[in-house]
Amino acid sequence: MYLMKLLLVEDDKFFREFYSTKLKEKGIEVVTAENGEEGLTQLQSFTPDIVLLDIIMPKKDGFDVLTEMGKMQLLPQIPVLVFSTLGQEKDVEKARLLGARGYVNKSFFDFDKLYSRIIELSKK
Amino acid sequence: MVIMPFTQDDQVKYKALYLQTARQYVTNLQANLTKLSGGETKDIIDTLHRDSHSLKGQSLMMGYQAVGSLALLMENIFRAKTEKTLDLTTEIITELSAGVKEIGLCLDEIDKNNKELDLNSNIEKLKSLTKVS
Repeated sequence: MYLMKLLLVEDDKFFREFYSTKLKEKGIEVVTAENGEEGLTQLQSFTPDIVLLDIIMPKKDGFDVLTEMGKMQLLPQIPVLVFSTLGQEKDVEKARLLGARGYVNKSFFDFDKLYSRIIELSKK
Repeated sequence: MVIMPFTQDDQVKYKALYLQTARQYVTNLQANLTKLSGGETKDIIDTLHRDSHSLKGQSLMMGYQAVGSLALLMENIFRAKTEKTLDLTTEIITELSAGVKEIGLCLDEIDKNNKELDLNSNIEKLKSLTKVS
């Protein structure tokens, strides 16, 4: 029995496997997509409780996904946390303006903080 | 840079995955830098940017600051290129290739001895050539 269902849209295999494993250990069901296009396809087949979204990806980046989710009117019901890394402050701001509810800095790893943020956002 | 690296357990558990994916990025970066000599395309530059970005992120997360720092600089160089504030001269491409090769050697050192090489001279040369930080 899972706490919630999360869609992880991330092109990097390392981060995809790491976050999937860690989140599953916490009782979260994780569905993954390797790029923005796959992520949008997944969103047509199920409604996740929350989306973790990388920004820089091939085949539709995080901005494209947020824009499409906005057009599909998914953003009010599905919170999106974007992944960022060092040096991406402008990208994070752009993502916020497109409707992301917050961001997680992948470079400064704190899984407990991420998990708390996921729980907090998914309840709203 | 303030880094909060993994626990020791996570570091051991994910080191093999890190080395596998990081080495793939090194291979891809080398291949795409070689392709640049045949002519730049948006696709090649975008891929170079994405790969250096990903290599940076996972290296910093694993606590490998030297690789992370050099990959960050490369990411910023490719970003400057996409934003048309930098031209990739032959000299810059040569230095980028040298940097990628050093990252590969650094990964070997991490694999064998669990420590990084000093990549500062590659970083300083690239900064000096490109004026990117």
